[in-house]
Amino acid sequence: MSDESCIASKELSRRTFVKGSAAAATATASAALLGSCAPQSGTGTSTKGSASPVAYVCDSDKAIIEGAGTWVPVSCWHNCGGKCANYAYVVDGKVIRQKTDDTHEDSILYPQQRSCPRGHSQRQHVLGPDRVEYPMKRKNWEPHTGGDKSLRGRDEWERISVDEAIELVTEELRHAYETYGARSVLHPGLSGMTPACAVLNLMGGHVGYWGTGSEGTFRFTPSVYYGWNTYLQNEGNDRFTMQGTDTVVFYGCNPVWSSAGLPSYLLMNMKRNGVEFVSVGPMYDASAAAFDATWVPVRVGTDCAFLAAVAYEMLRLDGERGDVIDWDFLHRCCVGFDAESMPADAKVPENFKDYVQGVYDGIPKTPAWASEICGTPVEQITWFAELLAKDNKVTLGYSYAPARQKNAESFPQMIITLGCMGGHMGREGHGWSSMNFSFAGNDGWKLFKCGSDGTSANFPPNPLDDEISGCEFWRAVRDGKYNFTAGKKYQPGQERDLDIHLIYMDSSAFTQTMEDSSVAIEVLRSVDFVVTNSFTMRPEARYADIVLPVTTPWEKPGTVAMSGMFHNREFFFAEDQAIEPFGESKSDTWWAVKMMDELGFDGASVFPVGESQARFNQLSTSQVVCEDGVTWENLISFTAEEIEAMGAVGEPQEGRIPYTEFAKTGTYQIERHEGDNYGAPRTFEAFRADPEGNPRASKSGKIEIYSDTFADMINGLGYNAEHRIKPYPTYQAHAEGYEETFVGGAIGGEKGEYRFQVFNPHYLRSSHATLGNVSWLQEAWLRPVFMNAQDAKDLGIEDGDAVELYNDNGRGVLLASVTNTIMPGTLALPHGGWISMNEEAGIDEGACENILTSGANTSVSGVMGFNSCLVGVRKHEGSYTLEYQRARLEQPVA
Amino acid sequence: MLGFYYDSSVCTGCRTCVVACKDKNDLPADVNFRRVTTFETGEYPNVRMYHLSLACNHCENPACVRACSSGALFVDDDGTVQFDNDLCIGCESCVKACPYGEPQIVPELNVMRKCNSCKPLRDAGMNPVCVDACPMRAIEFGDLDEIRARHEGESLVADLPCLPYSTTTAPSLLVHPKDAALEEDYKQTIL
Repeated sequence: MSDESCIASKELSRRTFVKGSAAAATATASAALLGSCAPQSGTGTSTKGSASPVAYVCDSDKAIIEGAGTWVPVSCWHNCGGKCANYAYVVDGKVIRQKTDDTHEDSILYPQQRSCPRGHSQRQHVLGPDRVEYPMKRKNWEPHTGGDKSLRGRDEWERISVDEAIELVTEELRHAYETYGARSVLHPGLSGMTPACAVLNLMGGHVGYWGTGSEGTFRFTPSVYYGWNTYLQNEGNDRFTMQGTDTVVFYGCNPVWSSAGLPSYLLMNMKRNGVEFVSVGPMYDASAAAFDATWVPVRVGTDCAFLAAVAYEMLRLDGERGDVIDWDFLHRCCVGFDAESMPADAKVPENFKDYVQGVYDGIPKTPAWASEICGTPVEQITWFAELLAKDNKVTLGYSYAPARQKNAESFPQMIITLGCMGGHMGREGHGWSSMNFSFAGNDGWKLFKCGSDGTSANFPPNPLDDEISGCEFWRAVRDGKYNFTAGKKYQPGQERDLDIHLIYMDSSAFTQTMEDSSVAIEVLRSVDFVVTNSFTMRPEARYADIVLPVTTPWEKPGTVAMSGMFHNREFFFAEDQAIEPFGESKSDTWWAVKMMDELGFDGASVFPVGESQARFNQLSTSQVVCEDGVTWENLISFTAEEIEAMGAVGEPQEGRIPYTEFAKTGTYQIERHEGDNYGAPRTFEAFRADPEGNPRASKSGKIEIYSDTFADMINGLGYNAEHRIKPYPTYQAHAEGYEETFVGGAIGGEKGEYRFQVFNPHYLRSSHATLGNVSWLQEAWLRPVFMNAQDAKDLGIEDGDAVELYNDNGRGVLLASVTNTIMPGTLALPHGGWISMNEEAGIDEGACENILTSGANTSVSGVMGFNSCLVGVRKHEGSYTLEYQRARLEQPVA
Repeated sequence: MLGFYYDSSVCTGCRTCVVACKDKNDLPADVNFRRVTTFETGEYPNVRMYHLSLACNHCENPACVRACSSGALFVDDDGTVQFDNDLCIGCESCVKACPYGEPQIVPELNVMRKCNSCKPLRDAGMNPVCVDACPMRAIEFGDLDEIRARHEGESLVADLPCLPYSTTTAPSLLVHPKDAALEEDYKQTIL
């Protein structure tokens, strides 16, 4: 690596004066220090021989105080939900320091957009020891056949030139398309619009992906029974319309870990103002702790049992004393709650209320019934039902975590039904919506419209319609067949054959983030050719034949931070280029254009817009809402000189802020005030007042607690012929759920070997799989598996012991955090472990959660059920320490 | 006296302060001038959790300075504990003396380093980096009397069950404790 620490070596040479040769022996270890090469300012303060000691000053402080460099707004581009402000201090082309937002005075109305430990670690991520510097070829790879393919993931690497890399990859592409056709080429990626996909599409297309991903079964709710996409449309209340609420409920929701940055600060302000918090889920998590929440423990995957009992109790309490259920809302604004509100054309003569009361199956969904399943004490179920009574000002925020499980088809409809029962929609102080990403605690329409960079205008479409669902992604490739539903058109499923010979991976981390990581490794060792664009030696690169080094966002003209839905509604941030491309790194687009040219296409006509032009296009078409909250204007004004200086072509324009001023900080933020015009209208207010005049996008225009449209669509998908759902929400035991922890699969009696339910909380060490290799974060966040203290005692496991989690799919090892903050029988295995296989022992020392998951036994909708599986736990016999784990994850390249 | 204020009642334990300090000081693995530790109290399901973010307390009676034989550690004119990089001989006396675990040996350099309260930045009119980094605005640095005045009505302590007795070194530390942090029975939690 070219960028090792100057600090350490300089100081070492100086220290030898004091300490002789002893220090020299440590010189090689100095690589652990980051590259913080300040100009020749020396380090600290040399006072040898002076009368009094002089305080030490670190190099980066010295540089900053002297004004030796520039603060550049930089990207923290990950899919975490923060979208905060980060800056890099660049001196002579080198980054020596980071900071977050200090561009203005901090206040609750105009808060600084401070980032989390991940944002503060970006320079180590971008310039870490495993950064890929040049194109590489696997030593034992052979053209067309792959050579010894079993060596993928454990072979040695050889440096190749950029030209050779293009030649080799394009020859493999040509061979695969000519010999096996377009349906032999797989792109495992969330987006089919990456530059590499453009190459594949020109060659004839590629087999792609669709899946329920983060949203789980919420993926199916838009325009079906709810008439809104809870994920995209930001119909929740904003921080002002949330005022007046007495209680905030986090349902399966942990904003401290999953919405880092501003959300926790805003929510803490509500706590300061006297709002009470409740946390529902299998763990007394970081948010429950931070907000001193009342914890309602509910076992993984049993939410619908818990909520059905809450509904039962609300009905009982309403019958006994009235004023618990908002019958007016249920009957005017919803369909299908009870017999009198059923749609006229309902195919099934059943309704939710009668289901809850046991009319159809003889089982009233009482707290005692639910408690056996969900583990929640009976009295807490009643307490929660009381809390949801219609006159209590409750804001309930749910996450998609409970919906990312097999058989979770009913969860979204169930939690929405509970909100309708209490009528917590469209009234002051009430709220009921998803609570995640940057909009946790501050939802609502965006005050900025992010512009278009114009780069995809000529993007060639994929001639193929093959899209494999994430629920069976790797096993479908292995087994040579998959269920075709026309992707997200959700057509009735049809079996199609598959014969994959070539895999091109770029922006996504499917080896780790799809179910079946063990199968993924099997597949990656079976196809003829694997190529990966990457800037680190992540698993997707390690299992490849050829790795093409790509630039990070720090190395190219910046774009608007995560344009579109994820950004903070009050804040616009556009990062800039901080450093030159590292080594021989090129952008994904550069590689694609070169390959197109080599393959006989005109790359420049597919991607005619350069990076600088793209930045100009995006910034010049970005808009900000005016003070009236209605009209819009350009955010940034550009002069002809500014456009030219950017290296772009375009017309000068008027805007809110001059480009030169904007570029200093890369930010524009709207200051909020009580009564301003930037508030989000209270969610559902207009709908509640006049549901016919303001219909939802569902078939009836109302919220559908009974929906044949939904049931027919889901039941038609055909991912599991054995499984069917009702048109109304019910509890169904989950595959790999609590029931299956018992021998025989029914609650009671003896426990089976895989008796622990695992779930995967989002965690501040990584953002999904990204950042798993950053040692600053590994050290700050140890990524243990959290296990209940009594369970640990029973197994003879002590705090900090290395433990194995194992099942039929794989084995992983990591440290145990023995705690009272998690339900017995439950393990929290934080999301984001990088696969690090110890081939001899057959164990994943990175403890990637998907080494343990399986796409088998998916439910009818094909929901990706990776947030839950069953495992056994035992103490690890071999040696395993955190240092060891770190060394494996950081193993340098070539 | 100058010192740190830390609001344990709003801290989420995110460890941004740890990483910001690490970035500033370019620290190798396992050397951290600011550290966050997580604790829990109670038994399942009646549990509580809290965090403690601690750097140098710039004590009024600093054990590290007393222990330092080379004269590298000293109390500066503003009352904070500073060190001269060139005078340190890496003898670890300060490491052993400090009850808070603040001075640490940087193995690659074989010298002690510690939090200097970002004095050079403060002298230039800026804040310590941990103060500016905290997403919860839980850390402040300044004159302790001014901090007390700013946080009038808050209970502010330098003694907690999870901390050493303040009588040893008279730390310049004001913690606004979360209720759980006052409970006598606690255990550290690996987070």
